[in-house]
Amino acid sequence: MIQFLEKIDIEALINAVNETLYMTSISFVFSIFIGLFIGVLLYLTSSDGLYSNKIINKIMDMIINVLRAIPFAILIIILFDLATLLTGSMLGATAALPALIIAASPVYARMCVIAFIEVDKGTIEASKSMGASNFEIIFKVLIPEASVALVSSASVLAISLISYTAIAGVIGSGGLGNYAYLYGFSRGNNAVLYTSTFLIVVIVFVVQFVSDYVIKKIDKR
Amino acid sequence: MIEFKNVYKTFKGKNDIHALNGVSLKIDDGLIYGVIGYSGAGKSTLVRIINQLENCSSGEVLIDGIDQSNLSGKQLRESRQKIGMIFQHFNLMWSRTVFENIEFPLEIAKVKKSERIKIVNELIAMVGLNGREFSYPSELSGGQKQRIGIARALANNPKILLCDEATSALDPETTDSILQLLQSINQKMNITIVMITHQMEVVQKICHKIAVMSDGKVVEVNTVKELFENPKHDVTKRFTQNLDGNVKIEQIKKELKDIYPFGQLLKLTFTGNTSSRPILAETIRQCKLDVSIVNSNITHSIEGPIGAMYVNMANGDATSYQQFIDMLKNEGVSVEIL
Repeated sequence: MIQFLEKIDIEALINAVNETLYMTSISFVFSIFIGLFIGVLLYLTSSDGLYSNKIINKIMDMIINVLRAIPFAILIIILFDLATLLTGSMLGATAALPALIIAASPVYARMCVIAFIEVDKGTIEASKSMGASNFEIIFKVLIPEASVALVSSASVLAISLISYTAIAGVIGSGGLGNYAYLYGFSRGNNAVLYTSTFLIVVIVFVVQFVSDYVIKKIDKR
Repeated sequence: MIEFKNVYKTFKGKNDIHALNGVSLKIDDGLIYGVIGYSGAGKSTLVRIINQLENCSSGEVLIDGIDQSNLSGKQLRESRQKIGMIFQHFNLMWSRTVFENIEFPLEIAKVKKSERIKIVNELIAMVGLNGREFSYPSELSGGQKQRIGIARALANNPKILLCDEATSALDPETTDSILQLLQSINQKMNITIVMITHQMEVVQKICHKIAVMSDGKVVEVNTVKELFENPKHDVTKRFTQNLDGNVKIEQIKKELKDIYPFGQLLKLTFTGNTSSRPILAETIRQCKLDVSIVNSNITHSIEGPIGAMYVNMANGDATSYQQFIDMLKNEGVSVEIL
């Protein structure tokens, strides 16, 4: 056991965990907001939405499909220039953020639309009959009534982001993926490889646990 | 007053659906106005045009003289706040408590928090949901959910209450209690209630006036009593016949002839203007006939008992039979010899 631990540079490991958490949480917050925003727009402009608009809906739909179609490993390479432009470097945790956000936002947008479609049309009709404005319908009815699906989608998104950060790590953004690949795999250090993997699994479990707890609290259906 | 002036509504699609084909109708203030018709008759569309959840393809809908289809977005939202609506499936928000659901229309109307609490508490007491304020809709029964719906619809003190099949998802007993609540609201708050349904027994219990719809048209408008006494349109006849309990009269007649060869089968129709005295008992006592009730379907409407009853007279002669019939006729019961 001691021998096993001796092979691990604790400081580098903690640093890697921090980087993973940093990349995941920042990109998570951004993609939730951007995704929710695009999701609301997609829902509103859909054929029976509150602001039905075929052209805007089709354009957004296509952008989302294209972004979702590009594998993340390729997307991050394509976005090297953008990352350099925004962050001044193509390496490091911050440099990975644009690619993570651009990859995750469309995914969450799509999940939001599914959540909104599930909201009872009758409830929306009832709020209309009470004289609610579209703004009020979105924030007081649509989002609260979709909240359970929105939270469970958010946990799926967070877990996807954790694995994206590992891919980004292999390309040079730091974090547990980087640590596992560079210090574990490349140098034949299995202790590092397995410990990193274990920690990633732990983070995923924590995310899932928090999400289950929140859903249990808010689901009154 | 709500007034429809030659309203048409067509839903465009692969096959256009003509939901309303020229409806003209006046609904006076303070009435409980029933709209009855089978599925697809256009009742739902009619009621949704009142608060502009649907707009009409042509024609006008006026509320107190104001054309609803020409209102701006803001005017329409303000107008809607004065028109409550309740639904077949209640359409409550699962994410809000009973209290918060009823509070919602007040939030929309920008009522102050302190005022909102006061109004919601009054409404909860009125619909009889005391103690359930902080429950969620999912924890309540259908009848209780509809009570939340009613309280919510009344929050902004509307002049009109629209009921879209409001009792169709409820069992008969709960239906009765909801109808009583609606009736007392109509009397206490002097609200015009427009209720659409496919259940005759619902409209006849509390409606002052009924419009019968078929194929996007209003085919007959009258009081419950008049509709029942002489229904003109076929659809009306089908609805009022349902109240007779769909008696297979020929079969009953044959069976009875075997038991009472000299008996006589009668159909007695009560149309509401009979007195509350025990007419049948008194008549039987005086005529000394053996009268058996074969089938009866009498219900109460706001105009008194209405419905039909089939009785068989036996062990008497032609004079006593005639006496029996005359006495009943004098009491306002219409008698048909079968």
